[in-house]
Amino acid sequence: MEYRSNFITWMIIDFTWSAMDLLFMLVLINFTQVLGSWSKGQMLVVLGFFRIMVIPVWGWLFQSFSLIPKYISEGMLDMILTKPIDSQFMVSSRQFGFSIIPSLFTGIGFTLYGFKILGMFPSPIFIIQFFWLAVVSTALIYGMYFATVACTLYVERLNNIHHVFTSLYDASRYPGDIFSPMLKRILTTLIPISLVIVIPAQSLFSSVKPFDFIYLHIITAVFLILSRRIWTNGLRHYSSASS
Amino acid sequence: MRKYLAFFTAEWQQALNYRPEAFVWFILEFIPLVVMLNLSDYLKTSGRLTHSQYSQLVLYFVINLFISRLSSIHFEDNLIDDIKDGKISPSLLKPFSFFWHLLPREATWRLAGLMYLLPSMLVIWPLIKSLEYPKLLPANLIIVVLFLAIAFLQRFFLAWIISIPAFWIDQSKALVHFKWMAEGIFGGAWLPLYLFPSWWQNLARHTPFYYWFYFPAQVLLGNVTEFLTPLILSSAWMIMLYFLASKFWHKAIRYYSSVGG
Repeated sequence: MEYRSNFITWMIIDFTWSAMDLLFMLVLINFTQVLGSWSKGQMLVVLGFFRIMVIPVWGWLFQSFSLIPKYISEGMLDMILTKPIDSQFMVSSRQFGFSIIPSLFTGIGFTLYGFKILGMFPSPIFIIQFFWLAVVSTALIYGMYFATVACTLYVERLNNIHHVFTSLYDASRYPGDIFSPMLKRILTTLIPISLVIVIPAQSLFSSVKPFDFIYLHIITAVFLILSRRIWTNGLRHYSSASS
Repeated sequence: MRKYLAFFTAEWQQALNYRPEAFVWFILEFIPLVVMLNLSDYLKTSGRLTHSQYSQLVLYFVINLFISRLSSIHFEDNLIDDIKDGKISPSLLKPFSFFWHLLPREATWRLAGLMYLLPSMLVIWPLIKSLEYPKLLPANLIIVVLFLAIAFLQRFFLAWIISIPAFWIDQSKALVHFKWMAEGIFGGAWLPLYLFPSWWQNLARHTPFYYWFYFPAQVLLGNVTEFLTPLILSSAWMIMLYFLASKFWHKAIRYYSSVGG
């Protein structure tokens, strides 16, 4: 609130990006009629959830993780490592951007508009399941994103690595059906970006397969453990860049 | 001229030194291409595109990647930080034009980008091989090179226009986002503009962004026969952007003061 004009400017930017996403998807769906197995209404529900998840991705993780490569290449990580607190927690919670809040409203708006087109509304059970899956997805996003930026500990300088996940995140709003079988396998196992938006969003308009439900939990645990391992092993490689 | 050649060489060494970073920049542009190629393939296999339409769409996205790698400008973010932190002061005292010295530096990164772009085509080679190609006339290729050179300069001047407000305000980085959006909706960087309504395409034609991606791609795809009016329009935009950037820069330098070294 101290930098109000800055805050308002970035809120406008965030709102405009939501409008751009909507325009892009509408142009695409007008051209293709259906996207994978999704109709226009279902696509809007997915887009709505995609916008809502922009809040943890851009408002929390990007803000904090974009600093990690700089900390490492400029030796500022030393200051964090010497503090009596877990370093992963410290680097993961350095900054938050609250100007991304319009995405919450546009995301809810797109979702409601999608349901209006579908002519249905999810039952309370579906909504509870959706909220739980959204929490699990956030944890998976965290694990994948942190695993990517933690790799910086193994190279001399990689100051743009934090952009890789956000670029992949844009691919998460498409149904898995549009990808080739090999790519689909990669995007659900090695880089499970295809799961983070699609499974929770689809749970709002169709039932989730038990396999998908369990698999999302397992892969989330795997990525959380993996990212932790990459970080702790990387710290053993790390030698300070400054005094 | 020798000074600027020295900047080019120094930056080339940087580009070679930080190869992993240059590779990541390339990957960032390659990911959307992979998504769009898969989408095009899905549309073809589901019977919504003929092979000819599919070829045009795939080639459009591949050409766009080349255009982006060859003519984009990326210095705004760093320059804005340097202006706000006063880090440009030492460079202003040196015997070269600070305004122009970024041009050879940016050109270096565009050339360095080709190191990854050309081998990456091997990954999608089976796909590229199966496409229908329009007949490419040498004259069209020359026209595209000319348009890309103009686009490179336009983007250079626009990057300055976006960065210079950092002398007065804190929010100049926000302008970079508007540039990306304009590239997407008026330039055809995200989707071909023929998918947009015709009134939108007419509007886009009057913006500089139209000549950055969509127009050169359409020339290469053999869908354009009229070059003179676009060339005049594009050149007029370039001259206008140059005058604006130059005027803003001289005003900013007169306004700028810094303490310390």
